[in-house]
Amino acid sequence: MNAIEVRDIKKCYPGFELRNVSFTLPEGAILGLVGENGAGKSTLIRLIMGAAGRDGGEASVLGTDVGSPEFTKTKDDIGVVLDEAHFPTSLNAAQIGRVFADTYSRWDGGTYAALLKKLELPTAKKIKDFSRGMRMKLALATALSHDAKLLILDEPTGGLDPMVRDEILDILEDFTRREDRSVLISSHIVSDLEKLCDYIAFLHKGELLLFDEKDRLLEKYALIKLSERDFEAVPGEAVRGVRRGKYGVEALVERGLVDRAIQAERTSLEDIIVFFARGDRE
Amino acid sequence: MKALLRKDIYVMFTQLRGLLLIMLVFSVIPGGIFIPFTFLYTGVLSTASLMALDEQSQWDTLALMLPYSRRRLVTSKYVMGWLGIVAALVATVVMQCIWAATGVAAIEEGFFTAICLYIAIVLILQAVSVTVIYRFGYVRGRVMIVIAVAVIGGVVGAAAANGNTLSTAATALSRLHPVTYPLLAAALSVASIPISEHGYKVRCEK
Repeated sequence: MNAIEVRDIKKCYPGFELRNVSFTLPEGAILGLVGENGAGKSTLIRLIMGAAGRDGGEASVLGTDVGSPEFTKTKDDIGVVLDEAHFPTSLNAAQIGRVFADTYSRWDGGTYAALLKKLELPTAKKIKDFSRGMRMKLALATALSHDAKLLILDEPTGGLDPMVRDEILDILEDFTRREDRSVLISSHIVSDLEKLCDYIAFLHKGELLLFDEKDRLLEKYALIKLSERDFEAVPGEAVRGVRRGKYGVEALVERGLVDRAIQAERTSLEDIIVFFARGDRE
Repeated sequence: MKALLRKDIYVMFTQLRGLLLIMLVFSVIPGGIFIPFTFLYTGVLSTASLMALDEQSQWDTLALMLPYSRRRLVTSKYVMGWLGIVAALVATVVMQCIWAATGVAAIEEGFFTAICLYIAIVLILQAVSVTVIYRFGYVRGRVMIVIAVAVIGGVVGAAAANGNTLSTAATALSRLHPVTYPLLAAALSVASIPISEHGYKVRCEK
């Protein structure tokens, strides 16, 4: 069973359109959804979670159509962390735990208490007195305390200091040790996703420009640095993005489509994303 | 539902303590002048405030991704309002009975009918406000409620100007047993739940 299946999903807002997005996240895999602010990442997550109606296409999560009444029950197997904790700020972590104990059928109070301790979160302090990092850690603790099969995280590390980000990524790595657990995580911090993900999806201006296994992407694409004249000899279909400077041309190319004589450097995920976005601009 | 009610009760006791205190003070005052406000505060204002706080903390955004159906999310707010009305009823009746027993203030004739009427009015106001807030959100919903109240006021005013219409309505109401007022209003309130749910869905689609 696939954790997430999305086919030609569409959503139109005034001034924004999510166009025909399709991808499949296999069970046990981690998908990183990358995109600039306003690319449509949160909209896509809302559609996947059935929190907003789609204008076209299909989406199913853990084998259930997200538009069906049965999906409410399926959400019992999903942990969600949004870009903010979104808990009532006058409550404390103990009260949030009691609310979630009544929410999820497999809520484990022991796991929650252990996570609060591990993340050094006070149980009696009101959430309004928490820092942003503490709030995100609390959101993560609630998402990880009910034996979820799928974790959906929308920009969980945005605006956090590197230490907290690292701590959150460690917890996510722990979560995915069991093979039947899947994760969809959106972020514009590509380095975070590079550490963690098996698959990468790049959403740009409402369009899915890229979806592939991370290792295949890193194998498939390479960076070349040539003079303007030498660059003219590179076949156009091999080029995915170009950066022109005083000293020549830097381009992202498909490794298999360029002459082996051209020296191609290993690229990073961040370069791939940047060049794809640049290619779209040009 | 239990989780949603628990969350709202926690919020009531942490962020809306002022409203609860006012309800208690109004129900304690002998003579029953402030009783309509007791019901209004607990039945209508508390529900609207809970919805406003949900929007402010964006709990409503998160809740749509948790294993709660939209129907349950909507119904829980009605239930909170109904619980508030029951709490106000208990506090009022108990306090007014204490004052009557101790000779501080007698229970006036028509007290029971008045209570039934207050509850009916508050149930209708609660249903209208919840429906409007779910459809338009708290900020726009407030404006819509003011407009709705003005329209209802205008209709009642026009009916009052035409004495026959108002007296016909009053006569028809007086023929009913007072208990039927809140029962009719409760039926109306329950009937408005699917309308609220639909309005909430429309708002979420945008």
